Amino acid sequence: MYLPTDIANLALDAIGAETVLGDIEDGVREAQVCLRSYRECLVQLLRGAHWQFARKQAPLTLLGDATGQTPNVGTAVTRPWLYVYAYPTDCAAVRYIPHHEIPVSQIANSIALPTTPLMTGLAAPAGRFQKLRPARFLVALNTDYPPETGQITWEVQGVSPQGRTVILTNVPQAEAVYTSVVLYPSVWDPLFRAAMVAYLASAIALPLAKDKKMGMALRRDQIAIVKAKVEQARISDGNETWSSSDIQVDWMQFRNYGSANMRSLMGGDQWGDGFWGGWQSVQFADGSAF
Amino acid sequence: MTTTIQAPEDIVNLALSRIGFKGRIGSLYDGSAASKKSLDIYGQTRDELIRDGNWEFAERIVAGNLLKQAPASGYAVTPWSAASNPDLPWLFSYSYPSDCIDVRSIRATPMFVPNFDPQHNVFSLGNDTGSNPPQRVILCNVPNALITYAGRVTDPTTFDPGFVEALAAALGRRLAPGLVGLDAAKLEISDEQAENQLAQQEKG
Repeated sequence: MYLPTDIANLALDAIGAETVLGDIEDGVREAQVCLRSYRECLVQLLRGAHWQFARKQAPLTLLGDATGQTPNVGTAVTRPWLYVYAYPTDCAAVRYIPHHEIPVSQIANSIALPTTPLMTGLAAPAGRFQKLRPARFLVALNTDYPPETGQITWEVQGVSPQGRTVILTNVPQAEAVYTSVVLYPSVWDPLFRAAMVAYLASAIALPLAKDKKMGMALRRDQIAIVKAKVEQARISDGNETWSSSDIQVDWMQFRNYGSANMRSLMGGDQWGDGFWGGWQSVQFADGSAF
Repeated sequence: MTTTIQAPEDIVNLALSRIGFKGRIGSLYDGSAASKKSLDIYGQTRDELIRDGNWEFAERIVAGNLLKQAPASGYAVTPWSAASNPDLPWLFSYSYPSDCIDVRSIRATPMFVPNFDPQHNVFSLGNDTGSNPPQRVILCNVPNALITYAGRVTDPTTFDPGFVEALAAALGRRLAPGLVGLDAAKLEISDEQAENQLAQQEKG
């Protein structure tokens, strides 16, 4: 069986601890130290590479629609974005928001579009087989949509009395492709599992070491293991998935779409911090990052 | 005929034999010098050892008995009062279990088991002066908390063998100066340290 306690015990083994935990929550000193770092290590490691086992594509919960077309949601959206979505509670890192075409009717002050195609004989892109093209998005703090009453804010990711984490984009009915927080070690990739053990070991090596010099040496060794595993994951991730050399140039996009597809002229995806979430660096207990 | 540990007297006799004391006790209440000294220190030594080690035989988990909780809206409307609210800045206070020697952890009652999302929860021990009489309480921010603690175990038949050895060594160290002299006590101190280390390793 793969339980969090098993992962903690493997990490304890890695630093030469003599204790074997029966339960990571039973409160003994070793369990306390492991437990304090466990979740933090898990999320940081998930953010460190685009682990395929953690890839999730799911619809986002709409909080606000600046066009006012959606009933029962607010209209307050940070300019210049059109939609604000709740940050998924199981999200470790947003990878990208697949593009959906924006219905022209929803764009305020839009130019009337020709009802007849400029070109004929072009197949309309079929929805199911349409390639996923990343749209611009921005992860930000929003104060317009407070947490629901009774929500324990310090237990739910992205929710606080100060505001909530949201995703701003111009994509209606958006989905997100993101790295989810996968809690079950049985689903983890073996490479990830090994990296998690070493990462947790690097975090607990110093607090649990009787000889602090030895603890620091163990920590260094474990950090080196994590770096090697994450690097391997980043490379294999790049090798295993498709890559695209598409360059989003407006005049080229119109060659392929003859119908009423004027998205790029509407300025709907012209802002933001990028299309692709990218990797986040993994922080280590010795202050370094990779 | 060999005997297994059945009663506190067996552990005391084990301690006496370790320090080279010529004699045994029949009962902790037999009035002899050895039994009187043993009676003075037995309970405290046992509890101290249970507290300092992570002995699994002493581990207990109970659902916390909620005494007080902070209002959901905070103290903006109703001011904090020691009589009806837990000590600041905590949300919940639970009664301290009567047989508790050391609180090890507080956790939320899991919805599913096994729990794949273990969380570390901070807690503190307080003295609730708002109740009458004042009582020891466990303060935390976890609703429906489960309390894991090291409990007072008095029945020697449930002791771990490693704990019996460690307890005998600890008793010996305390009994030796009065019963056999300081030299034996010094020897016993080093012996106790070795026993404790060994017992902890074996337990692990």
